[in-house]
Amino acid sequence: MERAESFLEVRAGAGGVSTKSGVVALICGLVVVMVSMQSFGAAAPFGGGAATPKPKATSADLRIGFLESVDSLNPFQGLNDPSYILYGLIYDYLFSFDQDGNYVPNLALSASCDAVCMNWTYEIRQGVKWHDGTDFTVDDVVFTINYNSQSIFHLWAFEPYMNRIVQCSGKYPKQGCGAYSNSAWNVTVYFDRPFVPGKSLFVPIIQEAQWKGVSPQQAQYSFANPNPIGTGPFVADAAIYTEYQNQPAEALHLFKNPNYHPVGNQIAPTQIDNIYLQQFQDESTMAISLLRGDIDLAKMTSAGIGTVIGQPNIGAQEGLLSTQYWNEIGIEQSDPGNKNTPLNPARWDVNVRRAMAMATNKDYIVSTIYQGKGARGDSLMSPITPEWWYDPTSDPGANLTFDIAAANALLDAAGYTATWSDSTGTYRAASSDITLSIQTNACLCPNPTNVTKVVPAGQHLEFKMDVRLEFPQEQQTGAYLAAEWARIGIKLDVVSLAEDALSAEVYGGQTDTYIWYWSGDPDPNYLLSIESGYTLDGWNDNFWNNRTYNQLYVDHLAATNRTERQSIVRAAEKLNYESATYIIYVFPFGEWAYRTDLWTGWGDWNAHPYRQMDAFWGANPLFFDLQYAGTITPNQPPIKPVISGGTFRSTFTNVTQAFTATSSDPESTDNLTFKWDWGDGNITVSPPMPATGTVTSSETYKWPSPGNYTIKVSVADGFNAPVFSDAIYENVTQAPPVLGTITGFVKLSSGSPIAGASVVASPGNYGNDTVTDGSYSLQLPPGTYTVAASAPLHNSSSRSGVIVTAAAATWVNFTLRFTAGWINGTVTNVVDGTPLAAIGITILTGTGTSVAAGSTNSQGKYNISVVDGTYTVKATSSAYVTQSKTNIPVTGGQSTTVNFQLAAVPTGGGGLSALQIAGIGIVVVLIAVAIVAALLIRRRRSKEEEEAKINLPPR
Amino acid sequence: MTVYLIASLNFFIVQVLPGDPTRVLLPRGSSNVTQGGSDLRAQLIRQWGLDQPITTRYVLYFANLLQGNLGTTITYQKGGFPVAGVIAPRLSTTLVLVGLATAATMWLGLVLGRISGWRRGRPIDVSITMTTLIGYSMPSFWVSLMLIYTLAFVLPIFPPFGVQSRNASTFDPLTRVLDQLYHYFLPVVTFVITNVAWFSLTLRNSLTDTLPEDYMLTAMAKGLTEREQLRKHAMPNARLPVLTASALYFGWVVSGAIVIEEVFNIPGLGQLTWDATRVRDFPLLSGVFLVATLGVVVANAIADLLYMYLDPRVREA
Repeated sequence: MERAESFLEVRAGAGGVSTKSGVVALICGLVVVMVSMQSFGAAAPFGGGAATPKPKATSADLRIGFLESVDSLNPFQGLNDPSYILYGLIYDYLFSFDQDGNYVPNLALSASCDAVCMNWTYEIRQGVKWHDGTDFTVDDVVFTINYNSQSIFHLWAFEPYMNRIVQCSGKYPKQGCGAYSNSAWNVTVYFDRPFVPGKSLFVPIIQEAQWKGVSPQQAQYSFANPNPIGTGPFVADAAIYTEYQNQPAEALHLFKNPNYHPVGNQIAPTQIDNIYLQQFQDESTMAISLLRGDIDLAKMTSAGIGTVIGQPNIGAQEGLLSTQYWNEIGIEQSDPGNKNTPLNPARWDVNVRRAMAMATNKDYIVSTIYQGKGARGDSLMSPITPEWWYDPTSDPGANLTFDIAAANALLDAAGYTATWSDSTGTYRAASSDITLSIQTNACLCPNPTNVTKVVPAGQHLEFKMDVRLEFPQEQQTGAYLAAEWARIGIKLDVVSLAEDALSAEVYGGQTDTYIWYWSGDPDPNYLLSIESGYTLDGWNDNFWNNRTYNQLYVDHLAATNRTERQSIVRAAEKLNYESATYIIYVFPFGEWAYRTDLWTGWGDWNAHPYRQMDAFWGANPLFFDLQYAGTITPNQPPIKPVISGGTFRSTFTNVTQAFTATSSDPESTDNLTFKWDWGDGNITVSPPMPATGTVTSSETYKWPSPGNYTIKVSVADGFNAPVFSDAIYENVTQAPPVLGTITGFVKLSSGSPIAGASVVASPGNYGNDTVTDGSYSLQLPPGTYTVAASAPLHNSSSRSGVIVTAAAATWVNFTLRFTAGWINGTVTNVVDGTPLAAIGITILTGTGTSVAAGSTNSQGKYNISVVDGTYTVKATSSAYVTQSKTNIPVTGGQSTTVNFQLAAVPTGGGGLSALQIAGIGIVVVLIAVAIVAALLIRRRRSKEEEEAKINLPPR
Repeated sequence: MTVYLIASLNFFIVQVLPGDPTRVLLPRGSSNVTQGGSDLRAQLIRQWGLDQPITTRYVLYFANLLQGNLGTTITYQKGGFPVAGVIAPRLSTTLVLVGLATAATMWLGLVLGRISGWRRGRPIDVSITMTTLIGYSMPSFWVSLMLIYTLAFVLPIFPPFGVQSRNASTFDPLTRVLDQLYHYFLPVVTFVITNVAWFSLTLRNSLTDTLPEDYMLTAMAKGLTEREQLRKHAMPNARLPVLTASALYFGWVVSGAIVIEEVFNIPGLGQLTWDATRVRDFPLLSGVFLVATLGVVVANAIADLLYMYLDPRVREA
C-alpha cells in the first residue's frame, strides 16, 4: 500500500513536470510554426500580389507618416488627405500649381476660352507616357472628362468641376457637348454657361484603356483600382493593392517616374527614388518613428506636434492649409416634403440659426479647444486666398459675432418665449405656431419655390448634433456648444460617431446639426458650389437652397473680370454667412514635422502654401525641390555606346545615311536616351528606351552641304552625365553630276534580314547601314569597288570587283552568319522563387577574363551576347551569395539558357544588424544552457532524494 | 453544441444591432433623402437577401458557414472582400502575438506566483505582489508608449512598430522568423507587464489555500525539503485554478490586444474588430466575433483536456 502510494506520488510529480515542460514546448513550437507561417504568408497575405521589383537598397527614399489610412486606390472613392496625396502623386491634372498657387501647365500646355468662357480649348502636352509605357493622347483627356461629366448621376466624385459641362444626347464624343477633340493635340470642353475657372478642373486624368471597361457606377461604388495607372511623377508599385490592404503593417510604395515631364519651374528630375506612405494608428508611435528616422515627414495634429518640435534634426511647420480646410456647424435644411422626419422644424428658422451663430464664441473655441492652432472661421473661402476671403468683421452689415444677450433678444422676438425643463435645465419652446416661408430643396433645382413650414406651438428648441469620433477637438467643440447654447435656451444633444456613420446620417437627413469639414482648391468654384442648388444631388450636405445664392454662384462663374468676380464671391459668402446654415468656426492649421538630416529644401510652407505636402493638385513643387542629403551609392552610368561600321566614311551631299549605335546599362531599370550629334550643329534625340539587355538606336541623316563631319552619339540614363561614343568621321563631298548605286540586301542564310549591318565600298569608304528590311543603298561615283558587309554578332563578307556605272544600280547581296550567340536566363530567389532584379551578370572566358556584363531586369531576366565559345557565367549581388556556372557553350545565333537561384547573404538582410543577430544568438544559447543546467540540477536532486528516501522495512 | 449556440447567437446579435447596414454603403454625396439612393438601397437589400424572412436567412447563414463562407465585407476598405480572407491573415498575426504573450506571461506568472505564495507575507512576496499589481493597473497603451520611448527611442534597440522589416521579403527564412520575433518583443513585454499579475496572484492565492492543508503538514512531517513539499505536494494542487484562469484569460487577451495592436501598428484581429465596428461592417464584425468566441471555446476545451491530465480525480470521474 505504502509502496503503491509512493509510486503514485512519484508518478504524479513526474507527470506534473513533464506536463508543464510539455505545454511550454508545445506553445513554443506552435508559436515558432505560426511565426514561420506568418513570415511566409506575409509576402502575399491575401493570395494576390504580383512579384515586385525590390527597391534599390541604395535609393533616396521619402517616407511619409499619416494618422489615417489611404481609404481607396480609386480616385473616385477616396476621401481623406492621404488618398488625395496619393492621387496627386500618381495622376496628373490639366493644370497644377506652383508653390504660390499660380497655375502651371501640366497635361495641358495652354487653355483658352471664347469671349464669354463657355467653351474651353486645351492644348495637350505631347510625348507623355502612361506608367504602363503607352502613349498619353488627347483621347485620354476626352475620355476622362466625358466619363465624369456624362454620368454625373452615378459618378459625382468631381461634381463641382463637371456638372456645368453640357450633357450629350446620344452618342458622344461629339462637337457641342462634353469634351470633344477635332485635332491631334487640342480638346474642347463645352459648358452650359460661362465657366471662368476653366483651368481649375481638378479631375485626375485617367487612362481610357484602363477605365473604358469600368462603368461609372462601378467607379463610384465597387471598383478598387488595384493597379493605378497615371502619368504622374510617381509610379505605383506593382504590389500596391496588397500594400493597401495590409495597412498599417505595410506602407504604400511608389517609385519615381523617370520619364516625368517638367512642370512649372522644375529644373531637374525629382531626387526621390521611392515614396512610402505609412499609416500609424497612434500619434505617439508616429512621433517616435520620426525622431528615430523611420519616417522623414509626418502629418501631425496640433495636440501631438509639441512632442517633436525642438528635437535634433527635426523641422516643423504650422499654418493655414492650402486646401482651405475649415470646420463648420452644419444645420440640416433638407425638406422631405410630406414625409415624416425626426428633425426639429425650428432648424428652418433663420432666427434660430442666427441665434446659434451668435451664441458661438469662435475665438474661445480657437484659443482654448484648438489651443490657438487655427484662425477664426467665418466664410466659405479661407484667408489662405485673401482675394476670395470674406471677413464679416470688416463688414458692418453682417454681424453674427458672439453676443449672448443679442441672441436671446433675437429668440424672444422670434416667438420662442415659452419654456420647458428637464433634469439638465430650462430651455425655450415656441410660444405659438411660427410660420416660416423657406425655399425648398425638394425640387433639386437651382430656382426653388417657397414653401410654408410651421414650427408648432410648444416645439422645444432641442437639436441633435453629430460629431466625428475620430476628431477629439470637434467633440470638445460639441460639448462646449451644448453648454453655451443652453444659455440661450437651446438644448443640444451631442452624439459622437465615426465619420462614415456621420456621413450616412447627414446625407440621410437624420440629424439636425453636425460638425464636419470641407476643403477644396483655391478657386472659389468648388467651395461655393457645395452650398449651391447645383449640387443638391451630390455634395451639398446641409441641403441649403437659395435662389439668390445660386444666382451669385452662376454669376461668379461668368465674371471674367477678377475684381467683379471677387465682389460676387464675397456677396455669396456673406449671404451664406447670414443664413447661418453653415456656422464656419475655425480654419485649423496644418501641422507637419520632418527630418532635416536626410532631406533638405523643405521651404517655407506659410509663405508658399502650395508646397505643403497636402497640396494634391499634381506635380507638387515640394517633391521636386527636396534635396537628398544622405549618401547613396550612385547609379551606374550606361556602357559607352558603339556606332557600328567603319570609323572613316564618305558620302555625298543629300544622300541619306543610316546609323546604328548600341549600349546597355548595369541597371536594367534605367531608361537610355540616345542623342546623335551630326557634327553640323544638328542633333537627333531618340525616345527613352528601357535598358533591358542591349539597347539599339537607329537613325538616318543626310548632310546638305559638303564637309568633314564628326559624328558622336551619347547615351544618358537620367542619373549620370551622358556617356559618349568614339567619334566616326563622315567626309561629305558635293555629289558629282552622275552617281551610280550599289544596292542589295544583307540577310541570314535563313532569309531573315539583318538591320544595322554596315556596308562599305572602297576605295573611298562610301558606307551606309542597312535598314529594317536588311536593304542598303550606296551612292558613289562610277568605278570598280570592293564592297564589304559586317554586322555585330556576325561574320564579315566582302565582294571585290563590283562595277558601278553611272545612273544605274548594281545589286550586291550578302549572306552573313552568326558568329556570336546569347546567354540568357532568369535569376530567382532560391527560397520563394521570386525573380530578382538588378543582379549583376558577368561572362568570363576559361581563363577568367571578363568579356561581357549585364544585369537582370525587373522580371529577373537577362540576355547577353558573346562570340562563340565556352564561358563561365557569374551572378553577383551584395545581397545574395555569388554563384558561378562553368562550361557554358555558346553557338552562333543560338541562345543558351543559364538560370540562377540565389540565396540571400545570411547576415546582410538589413532588418537585423549583425550585432542584433549575435545578441539573439547569445540569448538563445543562454536559454539552452539554462535549460540544460536546470535539467542537470533536477536529475541530481532526484538522485539525492532517492538516496535520502527511508525504506520502510517490509512488514 | 457550444459552437452551434455561439454561431446562432452571433447571427442574432447582428440582427438586433441598431443601424441599417445599407445606410453605410451610401456614402457622402449619394443623397438618399429624396432620390437616387433609395433605389440603390432597395437593390442592395435584395442583393443581400435582407428582404427574406429571418428564418430563411438563418438557414442560409449556416449553409454558408459550413462551407467556410462568412460572406463579403461591405464597407471595410470599400467592401467586396471575402470575410474569411480578411480575417485569416489577421488571425494568424494575433495568434502569434497572443501565443507568444500568453506563453511568456504564464511562465513568468507561475514563477513569481510560486515564490510569493511560498513566502507569503515576507518582503519578497510583498514586493512581487506590489510590482505585478502596479503593472496590472497600468493602462496597456501607456506601458506600450513608455516601452517604445525607452527601448525604441532613448535606447534604439527595438523597432517601434510593425511586425517585420520593410525589406523582409528579401530575408532568408530564419532571419525572417527572427526579424518577426524581434518586432514582437515590445508588444509581448507589454502584455507580460500588464497581465502577469493575473497568473501570479491566482497561483499565490491557490498556494495560500493549499499550504495549510493536512497533507502539507504530512509532507513536512515526512521530512521532505521545502522544495519537495512545494514541488510535489503544493504545486500539483495549486496549479489547477491557474489552468481555469488561463482558459478564461484567453478571451480577455484578444480584446486586450486591440490597444496594443493599435499602438504598435500590428494588423491583428483586435484592430480589425475596431475598424469593423467603426465602419459598421456587419458581416466582418460577425465573422470576427465568431472567430474570437471559437477561440475561447477551443482554449477552454484544451484546458479541460489538460485538467484531465493534471488532475487524477477528474480523469477517474
